[in-house]
Amino acid sequence: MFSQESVDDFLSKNGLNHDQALNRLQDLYSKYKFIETRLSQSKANLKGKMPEIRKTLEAMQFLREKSESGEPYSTHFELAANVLAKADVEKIDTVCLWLGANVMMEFTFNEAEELLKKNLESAGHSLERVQQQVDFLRDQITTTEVNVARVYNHEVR
Amino acid sequence: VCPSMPAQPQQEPEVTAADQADINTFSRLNLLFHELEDELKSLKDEMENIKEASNEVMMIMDEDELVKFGVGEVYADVNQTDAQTMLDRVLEGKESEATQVEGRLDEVRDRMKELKARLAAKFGKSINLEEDPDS
Repeated sequence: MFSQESVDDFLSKNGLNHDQALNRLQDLYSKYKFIETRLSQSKANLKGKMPEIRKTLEAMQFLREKSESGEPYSTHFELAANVLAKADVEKIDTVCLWLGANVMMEFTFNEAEELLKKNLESAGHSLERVQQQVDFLRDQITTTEVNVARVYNHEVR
Repeated sequence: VCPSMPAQPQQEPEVTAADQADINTFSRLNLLFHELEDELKSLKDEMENIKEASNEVMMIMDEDELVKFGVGEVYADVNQTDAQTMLDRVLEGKESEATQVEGRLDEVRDRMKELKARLAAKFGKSINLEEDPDS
């Protein structure tokens, strides 16, 4: 990125004429754009995961409150697609969490809360990291766009 | 928006590293601005839904009828008072989130205005900092 130099210096230092410089910049630009699409997908994934985890946490806290109050209650859960079945719940001490890869594990309320909070935190960190990469890339893309314009203007002049 | 510099045959100020940094920041802020706007919109939609749900619960004729409240992926039967309390709690949370997002939007808007003024002062017509109507 040659924002510290003038277009003249850039061209002479690299031995390029305007067309070659433009081609090189265009090339860089398309590569950056490609990475950008991949990064935004990552970011969207992570952004979707966090509300999911929060919902699970809320559900678990609901279960805990209900079981601490001691009164039985009934729920309707999805037995199959669009089919709900009634379940009567009495006191429960544990919850089962789906860990992925066809594995489900039983936890106490506290253990489950800890695990979910940890997952939420790490998703948050990953999101931060991806966001930093997105920002950095954005800068590269913007600078390349400006450089293309500068080289073009230089040629026109 | 991509700050672009249209072809201009006359003298135009050279883009320094500091200018490039400003332009980059502006671009980043613009993206952030749109993201925050989208977030705010979806929060407002959710709040609408919660308010409607709350109205529905209030309109139930039979006071003893249980409300199927969505918790995670299941529906739990709760009485109407509890349902209202839970709805209110969720609504409060969304409202405070929305206020935060609005605050950030204001910050971003201010910073963008500042940068725009600085860049426009130096580059004038050489730089385009406006929104593309079709982007």
